[in-house]
Amino acid sequence: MSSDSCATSGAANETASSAPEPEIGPTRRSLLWLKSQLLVKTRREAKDLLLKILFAITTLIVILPFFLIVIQLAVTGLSGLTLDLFTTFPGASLTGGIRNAIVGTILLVLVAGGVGIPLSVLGAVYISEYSPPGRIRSTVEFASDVLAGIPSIVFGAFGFAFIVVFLNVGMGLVSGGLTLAFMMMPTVLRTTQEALRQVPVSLREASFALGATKWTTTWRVTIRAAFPGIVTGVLLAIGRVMGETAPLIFTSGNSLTTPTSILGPASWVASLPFTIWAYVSDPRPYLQVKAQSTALALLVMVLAVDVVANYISRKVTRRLV
Amino acid sequence: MMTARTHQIEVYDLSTWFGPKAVLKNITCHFSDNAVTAIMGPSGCGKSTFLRTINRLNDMIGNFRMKGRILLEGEDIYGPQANVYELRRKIGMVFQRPNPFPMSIRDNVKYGPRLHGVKDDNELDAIVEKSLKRAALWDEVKDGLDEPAPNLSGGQQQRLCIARALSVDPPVLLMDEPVSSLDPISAQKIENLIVELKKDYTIIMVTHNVQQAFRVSDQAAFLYLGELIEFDKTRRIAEAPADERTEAFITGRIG
Repeated sequence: MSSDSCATSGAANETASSAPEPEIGPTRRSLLWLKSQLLVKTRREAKDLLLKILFAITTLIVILPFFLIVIQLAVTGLSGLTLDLFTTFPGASLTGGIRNAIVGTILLVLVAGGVGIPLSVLGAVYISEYSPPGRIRSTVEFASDVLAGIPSIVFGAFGFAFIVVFLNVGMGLVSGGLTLAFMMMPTVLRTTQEALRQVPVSLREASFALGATKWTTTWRVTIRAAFPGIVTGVLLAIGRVMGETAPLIFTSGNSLTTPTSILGPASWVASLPFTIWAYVSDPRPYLQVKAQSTALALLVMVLAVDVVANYISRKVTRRLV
Repeated sequence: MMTARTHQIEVYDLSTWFGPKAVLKNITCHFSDNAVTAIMGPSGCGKSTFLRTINRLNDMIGNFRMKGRILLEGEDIYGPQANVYELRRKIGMVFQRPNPFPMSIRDNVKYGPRLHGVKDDNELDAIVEKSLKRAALWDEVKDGLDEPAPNLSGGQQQRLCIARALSVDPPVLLMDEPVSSLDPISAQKIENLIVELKKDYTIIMVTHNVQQAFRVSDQAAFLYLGELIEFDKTRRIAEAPADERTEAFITGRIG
């Protein structure tokens, strides 16, 4: 406390160099800060402080897993993270790289996004711009909320029973991609709907008042204003399905190379999460290491998508009214 | 009934409802051309509904119903032959809160003319310049036409919205409390602009502010609980309101 008042008077003197101020090192400074924080005068203050510490510890526990995962993957997986891992296909006894899985995940996400994103965005536009509030809207909202909460293994089972077997598509890129598309749809639908809802009614009215039609207003004003929100939702959904194993186990098959056809056994496709699962389940030690390296690669890919989503939502929402 | 057109906007026996609730009751009035008409009244008296009935913006609200006739240049705007898009081109609107589109200043002004088929870039640029000049905003933004419109100050945004409304050259301009969300200096600028604009446009302005109505308007209407209590020259109403409810409102006892 006393050193504090000394510092302020020193600054007020302007000639700080002439005043023989006691040197306060960083350690001592933080100790003083800690002391001021822990200065307990009454019981109520003690309770306040205790709760503060409790909340701080809880927060720490909550964020700890993220850092533990990163550290664990870095320690065990970083050594295997070579350029060869990304550029070569698996060879004999699964040596070599994971190019099949990287390309496979990208292909699966492309199929899932290509089908799932347009459908759910257009669906969301219909629900929030065209359908009157009422039973249809609440039914769709209820259905997609439930859908969003369905465990991914159920999607996998559904994809197998419906797409692979009933529609007779067979395992491979199409079945895997469509199953992931089903998983994306509720998320994209709801986030798009939310983004459209955030667009002020007065923007739409300004467009109508100029003589615009419903469609022009929706396309050129409403969707445009909601675009950052829509992109964020889409990217988050992509990030999510990128890391899903369960929907792919029975639908995408697996492969040591990249698919060469759209349907049939040649369309069987590997993916990063599936590869991690397969390698972790394998007793050979070098596959254990490769599983960790693959997990690290997947983590980085998902994080990259999230960072882009975050950036877009922050950067563009600021420009909105 | 109609022999010669006397006014651009004429209203005959207009009543409106939202669901079972009557909002406007049997309103008949003629708005003077090239003048500012202020619609005054306490909150909830139907001022905004009246304004939004004139450009059919209430059509969008599901349970809206209306009866009576509104004529624009002698034609019934709710008639079977009416084209709502063309109608809205002829009746511009400025809203209570500035609502520029989330795009550049230039694109905000281009939006309207493009809707109505103007494609030529030179022509569009000329419209942008003319509209921004009319809205007294040109000098402030001419070097940054491609800046995002939401970056402008509130008063500038509102003048941009006026420029956007003027871009399609409407003979009639509706304003719904156009300055109530702005600071006094911006409000002053827009009031002056409104007085300037009435030379070329028929302006109908909703306002909650009696002093502003007296400063700006030539004609004034006083609405109370959905009824048109008085409609006359502003000066006459300011000096000697005919109805005691009008007097109570302008002296601040109601509303």
